[in-house]
Amino acid sequence: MAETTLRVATDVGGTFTDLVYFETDRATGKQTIRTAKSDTTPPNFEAGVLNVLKKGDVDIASVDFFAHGTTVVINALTERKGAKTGLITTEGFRDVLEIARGNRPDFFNLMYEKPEPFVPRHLRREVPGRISYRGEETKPVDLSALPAILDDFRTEGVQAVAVCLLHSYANPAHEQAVAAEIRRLWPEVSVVASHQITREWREYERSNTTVLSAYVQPVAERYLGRIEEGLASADYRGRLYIMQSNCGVDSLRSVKAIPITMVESGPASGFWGAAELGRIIGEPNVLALDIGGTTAKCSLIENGQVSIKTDYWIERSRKSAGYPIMVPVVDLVEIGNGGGSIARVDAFGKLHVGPQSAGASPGPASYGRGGTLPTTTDANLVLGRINRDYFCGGEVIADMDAVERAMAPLAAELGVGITEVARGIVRIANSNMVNALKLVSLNRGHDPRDFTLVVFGGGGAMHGVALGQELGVRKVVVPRGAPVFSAWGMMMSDLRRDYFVTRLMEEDDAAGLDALVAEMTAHATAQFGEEGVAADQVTFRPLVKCRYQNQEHSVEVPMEPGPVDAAKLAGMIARFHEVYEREYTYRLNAAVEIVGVHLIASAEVGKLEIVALPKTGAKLEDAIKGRRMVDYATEGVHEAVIYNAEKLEPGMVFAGPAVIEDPGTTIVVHPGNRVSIDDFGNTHIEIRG
Amino acid sequence: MLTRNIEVHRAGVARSGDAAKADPITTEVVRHALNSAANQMKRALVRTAFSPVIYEVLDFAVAIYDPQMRLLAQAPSLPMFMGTLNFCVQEAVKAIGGEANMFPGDMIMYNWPYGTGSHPQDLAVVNPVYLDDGELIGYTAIKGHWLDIAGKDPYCTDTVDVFQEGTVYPGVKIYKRGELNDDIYRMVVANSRVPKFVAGDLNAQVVGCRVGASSFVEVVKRFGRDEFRNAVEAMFDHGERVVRSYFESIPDGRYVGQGEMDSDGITDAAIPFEVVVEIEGSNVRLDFTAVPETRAGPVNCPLPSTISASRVAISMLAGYGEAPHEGHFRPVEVVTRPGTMFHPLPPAPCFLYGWPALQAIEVIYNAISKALPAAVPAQSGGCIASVVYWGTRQATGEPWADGSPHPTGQGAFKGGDGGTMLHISESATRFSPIEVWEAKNPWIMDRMALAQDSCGPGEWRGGPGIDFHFRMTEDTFITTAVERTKNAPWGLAGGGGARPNGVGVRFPDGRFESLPKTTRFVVPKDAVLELSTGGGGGYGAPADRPKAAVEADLKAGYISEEFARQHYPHAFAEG
Repeated sequence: MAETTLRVATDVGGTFTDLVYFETDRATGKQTIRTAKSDTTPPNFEAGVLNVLKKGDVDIASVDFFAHGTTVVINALTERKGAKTGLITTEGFRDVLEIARGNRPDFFNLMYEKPEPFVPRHLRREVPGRISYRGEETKPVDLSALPAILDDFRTEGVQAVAVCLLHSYANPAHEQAVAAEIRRLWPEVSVVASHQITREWREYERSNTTVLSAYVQPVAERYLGRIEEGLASADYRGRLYIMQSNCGVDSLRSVKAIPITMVESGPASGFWGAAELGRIIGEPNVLALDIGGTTAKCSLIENGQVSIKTDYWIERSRKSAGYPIMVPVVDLVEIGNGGGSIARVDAFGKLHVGPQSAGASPGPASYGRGGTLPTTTDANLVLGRINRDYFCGGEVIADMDAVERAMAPLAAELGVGITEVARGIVRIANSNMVNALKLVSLNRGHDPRDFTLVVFGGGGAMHGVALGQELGVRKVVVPRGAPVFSAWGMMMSDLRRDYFVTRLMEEDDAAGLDALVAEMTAHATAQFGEEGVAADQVTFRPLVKCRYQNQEHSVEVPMEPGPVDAAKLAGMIARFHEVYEREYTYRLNAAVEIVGVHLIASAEVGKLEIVALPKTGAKLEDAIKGRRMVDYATEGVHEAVIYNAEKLEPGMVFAGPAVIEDPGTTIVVHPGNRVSIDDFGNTHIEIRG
Repeated sequence: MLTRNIEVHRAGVARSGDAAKADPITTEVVRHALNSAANQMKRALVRTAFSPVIYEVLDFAVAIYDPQMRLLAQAPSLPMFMGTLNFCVQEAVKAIGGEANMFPGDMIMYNWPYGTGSHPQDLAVVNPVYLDDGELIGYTAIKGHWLDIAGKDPYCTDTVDVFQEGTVYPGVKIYKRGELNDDIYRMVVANSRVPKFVAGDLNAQVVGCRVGASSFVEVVKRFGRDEFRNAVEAMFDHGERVVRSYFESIPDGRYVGQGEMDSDGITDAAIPFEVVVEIEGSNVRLDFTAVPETRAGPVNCPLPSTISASRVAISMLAGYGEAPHEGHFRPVEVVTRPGTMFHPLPPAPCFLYGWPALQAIEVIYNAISKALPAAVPAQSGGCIASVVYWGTRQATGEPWADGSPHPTGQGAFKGGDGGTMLHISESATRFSPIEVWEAKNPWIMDRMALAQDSCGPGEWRGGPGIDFHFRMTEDTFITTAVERTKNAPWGLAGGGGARPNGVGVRFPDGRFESLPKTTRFVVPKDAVLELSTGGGGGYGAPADRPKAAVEADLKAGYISEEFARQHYPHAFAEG
């Protein structure tokens, strides 16, 4: 038996492939962490993965746990590089995909153009047959038109077929018959039916989900196949786990069947990391904020649990309705504000920040790569929050002349100096991010003052304290390794699946609920069994979706796993009123109805246990790099002590104003804040009391 | 120039602070914070309401006002309600005897149509907001559509006075100093055919107002009263500049927009009318004085909705994509004549007030198109194509009611084909999923399909209309309110007209009865309600539509070959 346990996570992004490597010495428990980065190598992505493993000096054959995350699905969608897709749907309804919900989010726009469906009208075809909302067949399905339809699809060069029929969430028999017939008539084509992805109602959302799933299927299958072969060729013999959007990992085989579930896996692993971090440091209620180059994303973790929903949309904004994807995705809000967001003054003298971004190229003006527009990063440099002499960990010389040139037109338009412009940019960016954090907290009935703010990504620590102060949180925590926190979260993930089924039931229907929970549990147990996970290793958490009769929106009420009897149901309904009141501030003396069940099934598969860092007895003074004047916008200019993050260790305590510099991020500590480093190297910043 | 019987209406120009003292960054942060508060109100309402007309159709308005009743922020909902809520706040406060009779914790219910601009079903809850020291900082208010408020029918197209249209709550306190006023509450529940729904929706309005109030207080506290007020003035001034600069770009002149309504619900006579848009520098004046006298049927539009329709039209043209506030309305002057269709006097019926209001929006665009065709699209289906359904469920004996607008084709514009969606006056509304509808209501939908050849031809073509077939599984009452069934949606700049709206019932024996406006019509079990919504007009000459675009439309089936040969012969020419 080896003396060490090796865990590896690789994350394939659009530009770089990242590696995080954890080695735990079984005898001493000592942990070594290595990170590496290499170029992403499309279309032979496996080459980039093997390169980064080689660069990180990883002995692939002896790795115990291998997790992999990828942006291949979201990229195929946003770049429109998926397969040519056809849709088979219920007679009379091929335009569901185009009519969508008929709304216009940019609601003053007389010339609004709807997002174009991923399947054009001539490739949306119909079959007769109807199932009622109760799941009863009211008209048998007629497959006789399929051969001609498939001939047309072949002629048109269709590569993937989506099947979505009305009310298939209640009874998938017709969909199964259609899919089976397509496979019989055309074995080579990629086919997916809606019930394989979701058992929830709403035909537009489900149709679109099925279409997008079919659209990415061939691309993702090819990708996963190549990664698998690449690792096999390097003698990896273990299992490969793929990061999912529900904060869990899943087996390669299962992800290959429904790859659309990878769509938001990047942000999901970061938020899972925040939940796990909260568990380790005893902070179960976390507001998590990830600030990257172009966007900021946030999510709320309550009592250690991430919230998983099936109300996820891509490309949705104030200007566009976007496209729904009804798969389990961590409940997050994303806004177009990151380090690279561009500031501009409009024709009426108003300052805006984002959503346009300078991107990786040319990047912020300060990168000196030809960027001429001022960004949030540039503003942070002007204010002395980022060290102009230690920019990007010292790898880039900040081009402050370019920054001044970029800011000068804004200063002229606003009639103020460069510093005032920079303060304005930071204040507007913060205001945008505070509103996003309110959306995931206040708008969902949570008081941010009851939460700890965990910030990560390259820009999280720069803005975290200012945001935390405005929201009134007690404490801001910057995790050790904040810039690679997503990969860290991946390493902490369980094998997890979230099952959602819509089924309307009365509030006293114990037999009905029992049958549904039992059916879903058996299905999940069988699926985990196929992954080699024994039934007793699987943890089940059923959540019952309930609402007051006639309401639209339901809340999820947790219930103990196992059989449901009248007493257990009554207890659940009593808890519904509590959960409901917490979220909406009131309760009603009205009938309750059950809308369905969300079952979470998870099993630990080689998760990392983090151990405390050693203390060397180093002195705090030795971590001080110097002092400089830092502009805290509304709090004025103060002389701040500058610390080297790599020399801080557990138990160290100091006060703001301060700046902590790490090669990958900068932590801005405001006047009056108390800072302490915990046993695991995380930075805690106390804002209140 | 003003004659005695003409009234001119302008937005509030009162001042509470000094815009010059506001810094532009703080102003923007305050604007964000106020919009965030309004959005929190909306979310609380939508998540707690009982009626799909609130949570799916978004038939409500939520807004925050200052003590001068100037609009500070409004969340996206039904744009038509946008400019009317300030009248509700004013009238509700006046009705209870003014600020002196108003206390923290009070909530006022108000639905007198001549004060709200709507029919009695649209009920406003007004919540005065105070700081801890008792200073009034403004109001949060929500006007929502109640499914039934004990009018002669749940939804009417044939009323002859306002008292047939529903119970009136002329400004009464549903909460007094935080305590529920049980007498009023029991009146509310007693005066509805669907008491559970209205009780649930009233509760949702109260919850929403409270959520908004606490966020509003936070905003004022965070910035301090003076800085807050200065920022608000700067925000209004900015909005005013945005709208003024737009109208400066349109040539000065007097532009006459023409429109026509099908009928007043009582008689079948068409009602042509004109609205004059006068632009002078950055001022815009919308003149409704030449419209017909008050009608016998309920197509009269009370003054607040006439002003609102004008503001909606202007905001959509010139509002710069921002959530509207008082400043955007300042350059707009609305002129009306009491006793006319757009300024009726009590007790004229006004149940269908929304229909003339949305026709007015289209007519204003028709006028603007004469100044600058590229500024507006061709006409849409021109109506929200509304149907309301109700009855008693066979299995349970429970009363039920539902209602919805329906998507229509949208007008093409310079640079783009029209799509198919809800009328712009309902642009935030999401059309119900069929699967949810069939689970809730006693019908099966046989069909929901884009209608071939329904779109207006042009260099850019209009959006297609939709055919909806609802097969009833139990006897059901319907009220239909569908306008623009007689005239084709107009094209612009040489573009062609499109299919008009149509609605009726097909009986099991095959007979079809056209029913554009009908009240409490019984659709028997197995009969099919057939609604065919109109297409959008085309923009630019059809001969200029590229051949490839015509071929694509043919392949998609948006148009037939016959239609293509008729309107786009150039696409079939050799070579």
